[in-house]
Amino acid sequence: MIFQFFLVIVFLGLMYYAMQQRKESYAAFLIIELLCFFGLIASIFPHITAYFAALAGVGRGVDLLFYLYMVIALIVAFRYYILLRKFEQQLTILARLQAIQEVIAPGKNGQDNPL
Amino acid sequence: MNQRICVVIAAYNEGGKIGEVLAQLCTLSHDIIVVDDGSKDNTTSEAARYPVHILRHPFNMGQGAALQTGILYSLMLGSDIIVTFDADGQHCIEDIAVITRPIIEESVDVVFGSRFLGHCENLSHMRKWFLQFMAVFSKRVHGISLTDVNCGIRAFSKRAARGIDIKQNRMAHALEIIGQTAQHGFSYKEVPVTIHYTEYSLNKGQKFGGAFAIFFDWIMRL
Repeated sequence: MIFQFFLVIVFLGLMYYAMQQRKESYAAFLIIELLCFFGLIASIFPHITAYFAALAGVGRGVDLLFYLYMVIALIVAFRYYILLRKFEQQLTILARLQAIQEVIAPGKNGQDNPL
Repeated sequence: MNQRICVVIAAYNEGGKIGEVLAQLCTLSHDIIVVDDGSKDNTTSEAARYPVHILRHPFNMGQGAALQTGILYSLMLGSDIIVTFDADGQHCIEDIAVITRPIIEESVDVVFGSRFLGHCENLSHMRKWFLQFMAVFSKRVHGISLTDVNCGIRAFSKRAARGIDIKQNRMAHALEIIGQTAQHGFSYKEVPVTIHYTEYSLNKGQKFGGAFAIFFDWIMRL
């Protein structure tokens, strides 16, 4: 019962946070709200998940939820890993161009750098 | 025909050692390119005391990124051979002649230095085993047989330098270079080199835990 209460608070908190950030990405807001809504329903009425678990051939409702959230978390993590890599590559190219543009070349007579 | 040789040094917080390394390198008649990879110390001002080209990354990106910057700039300078050289003083400048010779005399594309064919001091057993494991693994994946897959001193012909594009910003670039050598079908050779691990270079170098990070980075990019 205590954990159920904790989950409800967490999902409501997430929904509130997503609501506040909706201007950043409306699609992400909708997805988070939808997932949190399902989580909220599953927390308050756990027997509903048992019905879907039986349909899916998974032992318990909580197991079905665990598997689903695990898959979603993995997809999101992979997606962000790829995105991060892309950003890193783009940033590297920009930094490289800047470094080349601002090179400190040795003096023409081969003496010390004019720094 | 005289070939223009560029020595590329990736340096990160090497203010305490870079001067000593550059003093030795400047006795050679090669172009020296120092890529300061976002150092927070006096690496740039120390390097600026010598007649070298200095490129500065605005922030730290990793050795692989710094080497690629240096290689690209070397090509812009019109170099024929590009040598990568560590900034912590672990390499001998005499090995530059050893590592460039196969390119000059045999038209080899990529030359890898090997501490196991040559001489290496103060190498821990743990690091040695890990490097040997990586060599076996790399051979399986890339089909290139090397005794040392992570040696910092290596040389590229102009053709190879143009073909190889290091995308591994951090330490896994060594394995990426081997992979791209195989992928492009570049000819390669391994030559013996000498590595002096000093207390300074061991402190600066990768910790054993970092080896797993290198392995992870490499696997994720295969």
